[in-house]
Amino acid sequence: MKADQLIRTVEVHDRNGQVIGSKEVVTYQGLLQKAHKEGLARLRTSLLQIPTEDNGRVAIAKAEVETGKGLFEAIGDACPENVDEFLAPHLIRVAETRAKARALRDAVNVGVVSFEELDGVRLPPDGGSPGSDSGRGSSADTAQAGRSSPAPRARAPIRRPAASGNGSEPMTEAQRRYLFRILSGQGYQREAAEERLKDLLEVERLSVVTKASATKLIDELLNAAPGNGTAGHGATPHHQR
Amino acid sequence: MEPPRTISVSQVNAYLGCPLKYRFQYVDKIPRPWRVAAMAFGSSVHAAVEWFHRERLAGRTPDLTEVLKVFDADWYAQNVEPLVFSERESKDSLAEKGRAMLQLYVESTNGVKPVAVEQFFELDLADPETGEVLDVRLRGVIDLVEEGEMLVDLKTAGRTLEQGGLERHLQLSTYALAFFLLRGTIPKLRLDMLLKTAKPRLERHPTTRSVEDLGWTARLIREVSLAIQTEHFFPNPSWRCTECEYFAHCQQWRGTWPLPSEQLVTVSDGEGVGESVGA
Repeated sequence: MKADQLIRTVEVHDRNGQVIGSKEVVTYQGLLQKAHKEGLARLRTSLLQIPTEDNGRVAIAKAEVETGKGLFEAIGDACPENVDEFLAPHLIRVAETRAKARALRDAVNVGVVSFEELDGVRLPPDGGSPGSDSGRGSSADTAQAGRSSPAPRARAPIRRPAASGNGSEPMTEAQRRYLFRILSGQGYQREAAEERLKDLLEVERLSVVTKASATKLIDELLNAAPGNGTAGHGATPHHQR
Repeated sequence: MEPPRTISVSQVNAYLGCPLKYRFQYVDKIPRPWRVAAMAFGSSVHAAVEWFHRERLAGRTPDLTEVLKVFDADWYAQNVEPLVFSERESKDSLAEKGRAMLQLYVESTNGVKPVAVEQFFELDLADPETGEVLDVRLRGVIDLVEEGEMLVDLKTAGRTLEQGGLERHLQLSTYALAFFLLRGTIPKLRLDMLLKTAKPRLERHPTTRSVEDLGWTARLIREVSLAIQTEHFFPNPSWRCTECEYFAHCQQWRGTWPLPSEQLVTVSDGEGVGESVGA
């Protein structure tokens, strides 16, 4: 792939590995190049959630990209259910790369989703590697992944939610606490926060909320927070331990 | 059982605390039947302190009100599902205590700027004395890194450190080991203890480690990892048993598997009497 190529077409596969369509994606490498051209001054990441058994092994990272246009923030997540199998041991770095890709997209004003953010898409057989040299991760990702699984990336089985880990498990304690802390930053405290959560999640009781819907809501709340994305600075969310 | 390729500081501590509890928690993954309020309380205080330092790290000056809001939100969320309180404590009394402790913490903050908050590390473990690679990956999170290579661990506790507790503090030793392996220098260490006493106290205990200490720590972690891989799981009776979430499961332990019938399914394939797998 040409280093400055921004948009690529990738194949979309079904769970049997059959090609069922194609999708245009932006590449990390292209994003990075464009960001540099637009005066990338700083690219900083931080880990908001460490993947543990308690939180369903969901890694959440935050990226801050500063260009001449301002400061752009985004988060990225990775869990065994939304990464290729061979990347499962490297969730933190995948989450970080996804966060960086999203922040870079905002920074360079590209609305097309990046390859690094997706699961279930593959390059055409002659497509080379999209995005960074590492596919969906940093170069360190690839080095690590190569050691644990030497199979060619394009041939890796498509990772789909396993029966026991498809996000339908109950919201974790860590997710619940994080949601309450985010809402606290938005002015909702205690019972008001609980009611707000029930409204947002459209449930009668928080005990029925699934891990997947909690993850989705966290993402939405963080991205909707004042200062995120296009503003010059953002309010730091109440981070999860 | 797959040997753990990576071991965390928490896992090492859990195994050393009670190998059988480690098994229930990390191998069998038995959901905790209940949660101890004191542990949840410590997590909520920690969440507020973390937020406070992240704000400082970002160049802002968070005021106490905001810190307390984070604590209140987290503590409320912790109590959405019932916690088990000791006789002397309740949701409201701990809420009040937490606010007082955080006020003390915020007001006592030194002027030293944080360099990192909740700093994650993962590395190949090596013996710092011999350079031997120990075939274990170690990961953990350092609560706070301050200017001047000061690594800080924050603990909430009901009482002050026991004698020798600082020198034997495994978390600090592991922080120092990781720092040494990554940077090649021995950092300064400090244990900040927020005490849940009638009038909250903040104790700051500076300490350090030698290369020999770090070598000892590395070998301990290697041995724990080996013990886990070879499935050495046995109870460690102590005063902690009375507040252990797996006390009932432990009562069923007979030195052989299977363990609690309601959580484990016995495999009757003739390949080993009493062999069991997680349900």
